[in-house]
Amino acid sequence: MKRAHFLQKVSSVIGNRTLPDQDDTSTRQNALATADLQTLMNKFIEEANAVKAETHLASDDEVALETVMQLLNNQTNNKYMSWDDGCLPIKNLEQRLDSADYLRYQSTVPRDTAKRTRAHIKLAEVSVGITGCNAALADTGSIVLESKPGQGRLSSLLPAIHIALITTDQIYPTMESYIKSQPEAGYRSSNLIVVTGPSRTADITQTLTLGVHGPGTLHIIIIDKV
Amino acid sequence: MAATELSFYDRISDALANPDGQLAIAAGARAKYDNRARAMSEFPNMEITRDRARSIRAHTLSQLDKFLAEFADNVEALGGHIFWAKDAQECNQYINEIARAKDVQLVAKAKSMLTEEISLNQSLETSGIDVVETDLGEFIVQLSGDKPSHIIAPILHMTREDVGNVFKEKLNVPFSDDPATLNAIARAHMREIFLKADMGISGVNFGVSESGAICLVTNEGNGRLISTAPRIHVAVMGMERLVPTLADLSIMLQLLARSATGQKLSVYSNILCGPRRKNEYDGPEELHIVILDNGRSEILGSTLSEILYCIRCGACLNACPVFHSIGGHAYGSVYPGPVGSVLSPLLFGDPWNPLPHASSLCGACKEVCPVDIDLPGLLLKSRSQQIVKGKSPLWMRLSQWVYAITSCNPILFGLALRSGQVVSRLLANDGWFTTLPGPLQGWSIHRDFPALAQKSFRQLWDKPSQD
Repeated sequence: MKRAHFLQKVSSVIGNRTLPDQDDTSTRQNALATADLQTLMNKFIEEANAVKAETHLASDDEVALETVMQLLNNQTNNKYMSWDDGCLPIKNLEQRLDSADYLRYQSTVPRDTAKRTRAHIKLAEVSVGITGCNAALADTGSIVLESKPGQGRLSSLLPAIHIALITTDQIYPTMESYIKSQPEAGYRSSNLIVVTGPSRTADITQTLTLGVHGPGTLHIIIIDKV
Repeated sequence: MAATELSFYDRISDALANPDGQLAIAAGARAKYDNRARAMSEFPNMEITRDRARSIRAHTLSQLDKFLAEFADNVEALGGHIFWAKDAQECNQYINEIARAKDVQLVAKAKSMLTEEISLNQSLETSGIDVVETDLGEFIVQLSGDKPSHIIAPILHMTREDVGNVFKEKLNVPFSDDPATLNAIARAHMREIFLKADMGISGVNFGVSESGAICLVTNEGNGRLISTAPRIHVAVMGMERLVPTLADLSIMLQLLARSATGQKLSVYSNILCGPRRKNEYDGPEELHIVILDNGRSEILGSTLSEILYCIRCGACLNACPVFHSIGGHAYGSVYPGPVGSVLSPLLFGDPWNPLPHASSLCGACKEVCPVDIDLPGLLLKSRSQQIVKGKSPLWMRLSQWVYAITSCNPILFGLALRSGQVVSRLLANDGWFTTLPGPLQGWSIHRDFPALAQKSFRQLWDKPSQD
């Protein structure tokens, strides 16, 4: 159907156009909006744990690196994928993991159809994905990730374990406050994903089960940057 | 959607004759109802947010043409394709054409009631394309050749033994009724499909006019996989599904998650803005968004247009005592429960006319609706429109005709009253009828019917008592 015809039909049936425009004053007030950093961080940890994400505190980059190494240490294979080093909040992750014999899989997916499928199948061998984040939301325990160059979507999606590195200064009180301060986040990349806990389902008799299609384990390492 | 062969009343009788299914449905729906109630009670300024959400929906629909045009312009500026589909046939044909032109063999699908509404899977399968549902519940529905019984919990009607048997039979795995084991089997089975699929198909929870973004909400992550791995992503959006801004979206997402499952946010709120961009590492090469009317513009122009505010959370199903008893299948529609009872006759026509009558108008649905849709009011309007259009059943028209004549004539009315009193005196037991004859039996199976008072109001009025 032609666009003009479609829209013409819609226009012709709308009766009442005099509805009030949105009233921004009715936006809910959230006590977190004015909370200090410590309160925000505590709330973030509480909510993230409530949705079964595992949180780890790191006083500096070095502690964060060690935490990553420990988490990788428990894995059955040494393959991982990650955001590019420059997109992570700590320096030299790749180099450190490299020297410990961890193998980083290239996460750029070719545009050619046949090569694309081959790349996907290879990436499926990876057991851990490591990413940074663009923001964290205290009142829901969520992390927000953008798919910029260097920040592939698959690192937080394909492996069974997702390790997210976040810094304390990235924590916003609510989704509304994040969007208000970063309105362009909604369109400056092809994908903005708000992740609230590990993948879950309750389809079978309302029984909670983790790790259906996305990662069943989500580690969030919170690095103190203040 | 084609009408089923059984009548609504036969389907209800079938549902009531299956106590296992009934228990599974009632338990599942109640659990969701309780989760929602808890999540809402913890939500700061819930009522204000709900009013705001309602006004966002009303505002959007009052200028839907403008918002649709803005949305389409933005999608196209991002390199996405927009197709305007008048009905199911145009939509299915377009998707089939892309599939043919791009040599698509395998399609991975995320859960979408809209694609159920237009039978997209059957249409693609007829063209020889493999379509795999990737939502765990929908996957089980597809394996067992069943139909979803709830808009967000497709296998609400199944016990874990049922699911174990389906897996054993269709996937050749040892029987297990442990949800975690079943889940692991499904994950392993589906992994390859995600990685090899040529096309991902999804619905759209919300489109954002100001940016041309679409939002897909899932807990499992299948919505992310089908919109990332396959080279083509096709999203089918009901034309009413827009919100003006990203800020509006954030309000809707919180209400949707709390109303649907009691979560503060769903695990993945996935905001997609056009296809993969230059220098991005992954994502689909092509994005097609089909904007579908399929009867919605008629609804928008009708007195029942408020039903288009619906954000498909399923809360009204979970709250409905009728749904608890008869489950989703009895409605014979992709949209069951209170919202489905209003929508189905509008979208699918006369065979669904009995649905609005399956309600006691208790109002539990309105109370839980995140956008405060007056569902009991719409159900009543829907019933009255059937009568005005002469589409109510013959027995109802006849009895209403008799009642209208009788109650307009004082002599006839008095006579009817007297005979009622005589019948009551002869047959009622202590002021109650315990059984009623013929078609009225349905009433007296579970409860008694009050007998007429031996002195009517008019008799009392004529001869006031002395004291």
